Amino acid sequence: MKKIVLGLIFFLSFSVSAQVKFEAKTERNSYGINENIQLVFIINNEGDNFEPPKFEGFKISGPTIFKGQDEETFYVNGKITHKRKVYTKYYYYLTPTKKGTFTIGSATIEYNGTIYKSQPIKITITDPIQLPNYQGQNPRQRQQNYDFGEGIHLVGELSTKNPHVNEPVTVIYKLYFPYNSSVSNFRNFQAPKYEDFWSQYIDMKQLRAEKGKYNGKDYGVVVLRKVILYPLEAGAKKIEPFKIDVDAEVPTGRSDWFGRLEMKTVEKSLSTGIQTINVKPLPENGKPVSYTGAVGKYDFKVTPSKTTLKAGESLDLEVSVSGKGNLKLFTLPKPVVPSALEMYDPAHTENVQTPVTGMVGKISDKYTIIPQFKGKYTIKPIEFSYYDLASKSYKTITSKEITIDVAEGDATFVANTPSTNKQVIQKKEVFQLNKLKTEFVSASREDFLGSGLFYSLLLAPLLLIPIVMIAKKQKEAKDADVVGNRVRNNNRLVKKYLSEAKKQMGDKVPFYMAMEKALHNFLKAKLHIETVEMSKDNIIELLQQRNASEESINRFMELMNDCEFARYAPATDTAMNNDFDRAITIISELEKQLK
Amino acid sequence: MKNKIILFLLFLISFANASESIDATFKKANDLYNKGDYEQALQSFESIANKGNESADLYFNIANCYYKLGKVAPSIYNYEKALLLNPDDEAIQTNLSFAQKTAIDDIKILPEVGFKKMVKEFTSTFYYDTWAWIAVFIAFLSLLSFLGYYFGNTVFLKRTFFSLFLLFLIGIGVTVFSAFLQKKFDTNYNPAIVFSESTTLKAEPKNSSEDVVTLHEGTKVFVLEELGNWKQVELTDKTKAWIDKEAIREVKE
Repeated sequence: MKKIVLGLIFFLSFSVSAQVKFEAKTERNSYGINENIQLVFIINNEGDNFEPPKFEGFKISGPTIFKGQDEETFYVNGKITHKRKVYTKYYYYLTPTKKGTFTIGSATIEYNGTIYKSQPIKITITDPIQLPNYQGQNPRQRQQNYDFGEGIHLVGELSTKNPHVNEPVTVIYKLYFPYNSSVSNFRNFQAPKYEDFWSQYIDMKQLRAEKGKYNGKDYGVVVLRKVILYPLEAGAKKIEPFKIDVDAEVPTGRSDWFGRLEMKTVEKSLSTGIQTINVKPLPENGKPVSYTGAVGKYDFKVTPSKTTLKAGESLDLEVSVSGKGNLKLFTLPKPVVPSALEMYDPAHTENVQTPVTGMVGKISDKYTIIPQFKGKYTIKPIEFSYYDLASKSYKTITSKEITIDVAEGDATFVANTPSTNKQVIQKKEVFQLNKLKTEFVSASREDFLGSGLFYSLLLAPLLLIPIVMIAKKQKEAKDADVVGNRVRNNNRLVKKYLSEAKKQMGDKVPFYMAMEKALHNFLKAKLHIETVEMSKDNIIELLQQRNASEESINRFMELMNDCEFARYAPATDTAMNNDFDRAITIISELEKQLK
Repeated sequence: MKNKIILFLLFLISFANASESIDATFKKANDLYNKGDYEQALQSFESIANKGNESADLYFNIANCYYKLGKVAPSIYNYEKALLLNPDDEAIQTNLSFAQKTAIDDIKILPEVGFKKMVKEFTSTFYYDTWAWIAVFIAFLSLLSFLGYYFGNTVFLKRTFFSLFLLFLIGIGVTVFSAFLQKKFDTNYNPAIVFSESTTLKAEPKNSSEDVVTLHEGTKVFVLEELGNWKQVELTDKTKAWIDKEAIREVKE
């Protein structure tokens, strides 16, 4: 009894816990690498915050969220109860990227505040399965596909698996089928996007079956499509599968009444595998500066429509590249023109055909140039570089330098000239001729500013001002000294009259007059007296006061007397000479004594 | 002693001869230019310059040769050199504008504005050495007017001379100031011409830095600073950026 109760409790608890179920499902555990895997996370309720696990080793698309409900009807004790079951599905489509065994971790989801986790699942990825026919939606058809049409292959043939960047790669999609089958009704072409490639389709106008070989066996082959790819960047690049649906008429293996093989039409979905192209980068070594990505074999031209014209007229400059290669995938070099040539944005023209071998043709930029001023202008050579696939090296073509001779325009190109009725006479700018004469200076000159000469010349006058002031002050001081001045004056007069006496030597009267004046002035200077005070007694007394020797005084007085008398007495030249000498002697003697 | 005098005379003669031959070369070069032999003319002109002589006219003629030979950068460079020596020459200005038209870049010229412009306009009236001589001259005038004031014997004379003296003192201040300011402007004015065919200016002095603008041969820039292999320059539209040192040549070099 207890056991039953326990069992009931267990059952109940189970059913409670089974109320919310969250799980991950795949169709199988093992897939070929070229297959798509459908992975679905199912919760039997509404869920929030779905967090997918990490899908390592797979490329994923999705999730596609599907919400639905089922209705269930229960009969319990004669009562009918309806129960609505809500469920949410998250679909993912996984594309394997490598072989091996992978574990897809737990996804989480939240319901009513509880977080539920799904069980991790293991998936083994094996070698590609050459029967890419799991696309069929019902299992019955899939079963059929297994049995029939096994020999039909869809293949993408690459012209090369190791191209350089921008080297054309041709992909030809071919359908191989055994001779005993036939294919028809090609539809649902699903071409890949060719990421990292520039691509161009060449659609076949007519699908024709030809003989071909596949894996050494004879097959019928139909070329479905050709694609030219230009890899845009280096690295291992994947090309996604190309898919189509066809109707194939295949033998069932049975014979009919008449012994003919019984044929059966099956719908088939075909897909190529994923293909990898290893794109090699262009060598960095020797890459020219002007390289802009051109690969192929080209010719480069820069042609002006004219080279002589008038200012204000226009000319066309065509920069063109012709040849074979990735013509649409690089930019043309831009010409560089002097600022006096006004250049407008170019008109770009492309004349490119794309056969299977790659683009061929010509692309060009046409620039309109309007010279604004008279003169000779040069358009610098333009460089164009490309990578030559044949020689596996960079080639550079340099255009020739173009000289454009612009003459004076008819309508002078002057903007913003106010139009007036008066005729405006414009100064004509002419290129000036050389100077014919010049004066050279040494290239290494010294500056005057800041030199010693500059400072001295600048400061000298200013320094002279105080000097002048001081000089004047001193002069005024001297002028103020009256006695001193008189003495100096008298001394001067002594000398003056003595020299005059010397001149008058021989002429008695003027000589002695001068002698007398000299002596008087000497006294005036030495004794500070005026002519009025000049009596003999006075003179003697003053001289004595000044410590003159008696002898000198006597001799001086004697000389004065002599001079007085000599004016009226006859005198000889000798006497005059004598007197003059005596005067010199006595004056110098007294000079010493009177201090 | 005699020998020395003879030597001295010889020296004088040779000196005179040398200067004469420079003038002769100048004339010969002009003849070559007129004949259209620009290469030879250029060589002769440059030989004069290489001997350490210069004049605005010489640089002008060199620039003309380069212009005729279609060499943009050297021609603009030499016109600028000529303009430094003789900023007001119309012939130089005209031909420079011709040469600038053959250059590739056309960069806006933003004029300077405001007080600084007025000061610059004033100080640039004279070359700074001329300002210096004017200052010296005014200094002597001020001395004279001081003397006039000091020794003048009427009130009127004293007053007149004293105001003149004050005026001249202010004059000295203004001219000396202008001279030094002009010299400073002059040293800060370092025009350079882009010689490389095309060079990209960077926001910072390193190759990995952001590109600011691409300049071509013949464009005029002003050098502000130097750092390693880079020079900071200002364009005529006031854009500041760093340029590869080798791409330009300074006009004052």
